[in-house]
Amino acid sequence: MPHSQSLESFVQDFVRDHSAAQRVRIERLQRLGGGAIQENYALDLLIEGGPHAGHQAWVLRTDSPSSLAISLGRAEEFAVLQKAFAAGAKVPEPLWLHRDQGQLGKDFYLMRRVAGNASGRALVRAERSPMQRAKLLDQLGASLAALHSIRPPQPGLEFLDKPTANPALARVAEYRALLDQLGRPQPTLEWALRWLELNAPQHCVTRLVHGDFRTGNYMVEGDQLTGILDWEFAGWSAPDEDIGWFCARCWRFGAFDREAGGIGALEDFLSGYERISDTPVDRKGLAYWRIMATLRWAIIALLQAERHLSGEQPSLELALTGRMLPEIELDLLDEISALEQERRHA
Amino acid sequence: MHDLPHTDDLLAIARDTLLNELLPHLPATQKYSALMVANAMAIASREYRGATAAERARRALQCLAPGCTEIVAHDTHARDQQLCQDLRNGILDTDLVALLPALRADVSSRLQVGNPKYLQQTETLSTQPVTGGAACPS
Repeated sequence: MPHSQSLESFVQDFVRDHSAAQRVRIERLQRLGGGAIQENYALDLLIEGGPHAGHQAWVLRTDSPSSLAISLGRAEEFAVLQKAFAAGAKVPEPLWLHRDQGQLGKDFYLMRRVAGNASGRALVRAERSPMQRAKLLDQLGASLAALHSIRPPQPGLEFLDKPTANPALARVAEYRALLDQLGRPQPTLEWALRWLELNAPQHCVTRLVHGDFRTGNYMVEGDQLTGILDWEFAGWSAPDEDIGWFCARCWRFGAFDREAGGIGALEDFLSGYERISDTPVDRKGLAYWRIMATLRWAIIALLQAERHLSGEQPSLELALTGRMLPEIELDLLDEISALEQERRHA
Repeated sequence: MHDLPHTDDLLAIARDTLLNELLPHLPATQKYSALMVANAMAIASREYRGATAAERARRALQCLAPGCTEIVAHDTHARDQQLCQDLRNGILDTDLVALLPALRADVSSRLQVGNPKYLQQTETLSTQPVTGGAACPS
């Protein structure tokens, strides 16, 4: 946005038109922190007239200057959010989308602001009783299952990559292509990819998945899940991929003994999931997707390091992320090794 | 020829100064950056001292790539490339799990430089929570 002044007056008219209001006053339009891919603004309004009359606390979400090519644009994200909301997943209610035609230079959409905190570190460190942990995980599981009830095809989601016959093999191909782009041989990752290829589940169902469902990407107020955020990696895939990513070691923020997102026990999460889902979760099959999650984290670490190495974004943090690769490789090897041993003893 | 003190000595005293003299005066918002600087210096220092040992362990991977006899022994990039290609083409499928120990030795030697604490914790406390392990992408 070139001038926040022009954004402000544009948004004022936009809201007035969409909410059938007589008058709209913007009390606050303030950039919120975080988000390398998109920009979020807190938007507080006083609306006179129409169905939204009164004080409103919303969020305006738009693209940042450096967007990732692999992630969804705001218009597409809005469409996904609408589907998720309609399916009963706990997400901020999407309101209206602005498709830009030169007025601002980018799309944006408005959604209701949800209360709470999304900081992964704070969530994991918060004092909670086992009951409270179980309750939060139950809500997370139930919300994810609601999202996973959405099957292809879906009118309005045609922009998503077509569902593949085998989502696991599609991921293997995708990660190999990324490694090829980076151009440095990675024997451990290639080994793990071959293992994932040879051990891919034969029959996966395909559902709408979040794509980055993990602690740090949802808001919690007290013990209540208030909203799942950051939908830009949504797509058609195996539901277990979301569960595997949620349980990945790297997303436990140091609380490695709490398998489910650093919050608590996996079974508490799964019982919430199965309360809503029409199919039980295959516990054994999850191990595969947890290994896939570790591999994905390795690829992300390489991509982040590349942003530093290529000179695109010189950063000590990105550089150090690159040096975490052997830690992730070790996890990957040990996870596959454990699964192989378990099989031999089975 | 290098002047004295040596590189690792310089890095050590610089890191020490950063952590003990500068860090306490930094505002809370900057402490994380200072700790990252200290971490980067520690890695560089371990790498400087252990470069040859790590390289020796890395060469143990050599025997894994069937095509490697034609590759010059010190060209680790070409060797890794060959190994990756063989893995992807399925040439090593029958021995896939048997390759685990060699890969683990290679990863361990790199961790010895990058984050020896992580390696020790993983190996001694595999059933207990590990602190200070792999941080998260963000």
